[in-house]
Amino acid sequence: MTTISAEPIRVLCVEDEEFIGELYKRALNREGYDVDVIADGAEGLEKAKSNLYDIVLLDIMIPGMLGMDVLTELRKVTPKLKAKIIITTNLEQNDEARQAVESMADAYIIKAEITPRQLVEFLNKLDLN
Amino acid sequence: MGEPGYLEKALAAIRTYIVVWLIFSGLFIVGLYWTVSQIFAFNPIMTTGIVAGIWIVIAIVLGSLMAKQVLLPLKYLAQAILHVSPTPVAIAPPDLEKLTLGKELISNLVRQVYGYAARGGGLEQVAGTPAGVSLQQLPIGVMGLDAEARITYANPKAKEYSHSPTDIVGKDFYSLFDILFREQTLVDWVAECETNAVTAQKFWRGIRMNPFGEKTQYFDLCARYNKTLEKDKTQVVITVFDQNEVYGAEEKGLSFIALAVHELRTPLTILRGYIEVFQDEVKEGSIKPELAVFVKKMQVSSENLAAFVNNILNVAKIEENQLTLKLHEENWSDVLTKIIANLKLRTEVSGKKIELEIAPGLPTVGIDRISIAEVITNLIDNSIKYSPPDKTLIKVRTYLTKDGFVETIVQDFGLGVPTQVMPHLFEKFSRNYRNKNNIIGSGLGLYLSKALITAHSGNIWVRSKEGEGSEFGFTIMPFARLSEEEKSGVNKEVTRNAHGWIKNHSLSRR
Repeated sequence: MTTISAEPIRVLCVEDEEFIGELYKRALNREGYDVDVIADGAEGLEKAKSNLYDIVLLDIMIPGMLGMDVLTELRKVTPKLKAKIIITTNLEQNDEARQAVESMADAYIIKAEITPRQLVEFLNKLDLN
Repeated sequence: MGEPGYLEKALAAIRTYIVVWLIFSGLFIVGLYWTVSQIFAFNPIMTTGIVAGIWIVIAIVLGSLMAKQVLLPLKYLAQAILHVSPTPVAIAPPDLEKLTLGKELISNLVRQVYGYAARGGGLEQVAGTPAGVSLQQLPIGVMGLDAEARITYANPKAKEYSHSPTDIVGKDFYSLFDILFREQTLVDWVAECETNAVTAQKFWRGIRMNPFGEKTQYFDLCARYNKTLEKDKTQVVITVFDQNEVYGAEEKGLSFIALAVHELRTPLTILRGYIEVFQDEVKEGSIKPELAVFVKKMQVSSENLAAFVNNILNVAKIEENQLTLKLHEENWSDVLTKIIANLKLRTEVSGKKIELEIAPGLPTVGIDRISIAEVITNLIDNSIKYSPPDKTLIKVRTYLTKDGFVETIVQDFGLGVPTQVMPHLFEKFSRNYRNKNNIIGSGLGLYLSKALITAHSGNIWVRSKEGEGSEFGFTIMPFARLSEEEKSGVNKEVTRNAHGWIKNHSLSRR
C-alpha cells in the first residue's frame, strides 16, 4: 500500500452481481482493506456522498441509478470528494461513450479482464493522497 | 480525315522514295555490269547472268527492308486502333517518332482515332441539356472527375451522399469521400488506366463510403474511364448505387455481438475470480497438491475463453471499421518480454517451452500494446495447438531487418500448414479443414492478427512445411519512422483504424 496510516483504506464497491461483489470483498479484505458492497445505484450514491471512503468501485450497469448518473451527480454534489473513483464494467462501449466516462473518473476497468488479485494489485498502486 | 495537305505530302514523299530507289537500282545494275565485265572478261551472256544473280539476292534483301518501311505507317495506324479498342489488348501505343514516311498524316489520323475513342470532357457541359435534366433527377449518384481527381460534375444525389454543406464541384473527390474497397481501389485502377488504356470500365460490388463525420454508407460503384489530354475535362465518370439497406443491415450484427459479449463476460469474471480463490487455497495447502494442476488448467481455460470473447468482439468491430488503435512509443524488448512472461502459464500447462531471443539495440517502436499482445498470443496459441506432444519447443525471436523494420518471428516444429490452406490462412473462418488431430479453434486469430498488424503499417507472413513446422512473422515500425510518416511530430500518439478492408488512400499502401 502507498499510504502509511493506522487506519485501513475504505472501499465502497457498488456492484449488483452478488458473486463478483463477494469475490472483490474477499480479495480486498485479505489485503487489509475495509469494504462495503452496495448493490443499488441510488444507495451507493448516498454512501459515497458521505465522503468517508478512499476508493469507490463503481459499476456502470446497476439498478436504481445508472453508474454514469451516480458519477455525474457525485461530481456535481461533492466536488471535493477525496475518494478515487474506479469505473468497473463488462460493457463494451464505443470510444466516445468510454471517453465521456473516463474523463469524470480516475480509472476504467473491464472486469472480465482482471482477476480479484489483479484488482487488488491495481488499487495498491493508487496514489490516495 | 487529315488536312488535304498531309495526303499530298505523303504522296510526294512516297513518290520520291520509290523514284529514288528505282533510279538507284538502275544505276547500280549498270555499274555492276560494267564492273563485272571489266574485272572478269566473260562474254556478255555470262556477265548478264552473274549480274542478274547478284541483283536478285540484293533485290530480295532490299525489298524486305523497303516493304517494312512502306508498311510502317499502316502498322502504326492499326496499333493505335487496337490500342483504343474497349476490349483490353496488351498493345502499347505507337511510337510515331520512328516514322519517316507520311509522319504528319499518320500522326494526325492517330490523334483522330484517339479523339473518337476518348470522347471525354462531356459531363461538365451537361447542365441545361435534356440529358442533364434527367441526370439531376436520377436517384443514383453521378459524378465526373478530372485527371487530378477534382469533381467536375455532381448531380444532387451525389452531393447528398457527400454530406457536404457546400457545393462539391471543384473539390478533391478523395477528401470528400473516404472509400474502403475489398479489392483493387479506385485510385489504383485509375492509375492503371492512365498507363494502359484509353477507355475502361469497372464495377465494384459493395464498397463503403465514410463521408467524414458521418455514418458508414454502403454502395455499388461503377467507374468509366475516358482518357483525355485536356485539363479540367472529365476523365472518370462515377456512378454510385445506394445499397445501404442491403449491406447496411450487417451493422446490426455489432450490437448483437456487443450484447452477447457483455452477457458472456459476467460469468467469465466470476469463474476467473473463484479459480483464483482455489489457487490461494492450493498455496495455503488446503487443497490436495495433485489437484493443483487441475486448477492451473482451469485458469488457462478461463483465460482462453476471455481471449476468445475479446477476439469475436474485435472481429465484429473490425468489420464495422470501429476498432481504433492508439500507437505509442514503446521499448519493444520490454514489451515482448512481458507478453511472453504472461503466456508462461499457458505454455507450461500445454507442456511447451518458449525460447526468446531479442537482438540488442532495437529502436523504440510505435505500437498499441494490447493489440500487439493479442497478435503474439494468437501466434503462440497456434504454435501450441499445432505442435504434437513430442514437439515442445516454440522459438520467438526479434531483430531489425535491413529495411529498418522490427521483425518478430514465432516458430514451431509441429504439424505445419497444408498447402491448400496456405492462400486462405489469413481469411476469416479459414479453418474448415479437419486434420487427423481434430484441432479446435475459431479461425479468427490470424484474420484478427492481420488486421491489427496492417493497422500498425506492418506486414504479417507465414513460412511453413507440412510435417516440419511453421514460422509466423510480422513487422512493426520503429517509432521514429512512424511519426515521420504520420508527421505527428510533437503529438506522441498515432491513431489508426483496424479493419479488414483496403483504404482508398496512398497512406494505406505500404
